[in-house]
Amino acid sequence: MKNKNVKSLLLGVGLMLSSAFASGYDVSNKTKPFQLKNIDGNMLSLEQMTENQKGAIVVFTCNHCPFAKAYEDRIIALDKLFKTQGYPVIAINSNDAVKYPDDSFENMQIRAAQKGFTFPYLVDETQEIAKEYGATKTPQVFVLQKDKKDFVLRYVGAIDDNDQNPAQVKEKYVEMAIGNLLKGERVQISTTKAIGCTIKWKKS
Amino acid sequence: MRTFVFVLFSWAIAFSQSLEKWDYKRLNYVTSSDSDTLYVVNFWATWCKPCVEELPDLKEFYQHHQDKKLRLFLVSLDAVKDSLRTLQFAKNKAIEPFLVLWQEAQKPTTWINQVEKTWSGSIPVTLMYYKGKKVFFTESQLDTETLQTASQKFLK
Repeated sequence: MKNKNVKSLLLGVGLMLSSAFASGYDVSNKTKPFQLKNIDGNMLSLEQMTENQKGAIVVFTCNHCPFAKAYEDRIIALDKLFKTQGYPVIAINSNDAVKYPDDSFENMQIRAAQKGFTFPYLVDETQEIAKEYGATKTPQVFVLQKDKKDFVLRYVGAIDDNDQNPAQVKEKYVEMAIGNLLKGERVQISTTKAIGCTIKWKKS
Repeated sequence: MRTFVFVLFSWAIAFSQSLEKWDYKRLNYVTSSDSDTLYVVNFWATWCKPCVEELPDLKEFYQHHQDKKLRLFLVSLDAVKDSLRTLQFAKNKAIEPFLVLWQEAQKPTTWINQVEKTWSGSIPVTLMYYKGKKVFFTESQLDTETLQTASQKFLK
């Protein structure tokens, strides 16, 4: 009995620790370069995005998740607003398409066409990039700032503070963060949380 | 047509009164009770596949320990405007007695951190509270064995 108690305690602590350390990058970490396949079939990396690039808005998203869907229009709006100011959106789908057939490469192409995505939509087939970034759910945003050759993480979290109703949004976190960066300021709110759909990991 | 709308409307009112609707304050009130009941709180949503997959396990776990001091709350994070659909879903899955509709929509950072600092925001999430203390937290899919092991010493 006693032994079992210890075991259950260890299990509980273990579970707590595993989720606590699951995160990848922290704010102000340099991110590793990546190259992933875009829906147009070409490989794309962060630094190939636009002229006079100052950074990037990396969004982990997918097709099937209602939260991701609720934010599609707002992600397009972010791209339109900030691409010309040096912060283009780059969307990544890391979900296991076996578990979620909706998230297959073909369905990514279809969804992007339906919604008129103005930004690249990349597939992270090996899920390495999601793991590297510490992305756990969709949608989840990483705002990166270019520092010479590096892309440095400046903001991680939600797009704004209300997923259910865009009309009731009070704080637009990504806009605020990039607003800070464009003025050469420190990002005031650099981490937020939101409910999202868990990224489904492939069985290794 | 008018009668139909009226019936639908009164049904909507009736259901809105009888259902458990919680915000963080309510969750905190329920789970900070110092009784020796084990409170199991699971955050899920109808659109979350791994969550829906583990619902039968949670129900089975509850039924297995019905004679003990145990309460189970299945807190749905579905949009508030979809409440009727969520209720229907819960009825189909026969988990309606455990259903709680979550009412917090604004500022998720605040309530997520209040529930658990290390919670990134993905679901399913399961917590256990005993004598006013949080004794278990996991941000991943559960199975009956894990539930058993984690709850064993608190079930009286």
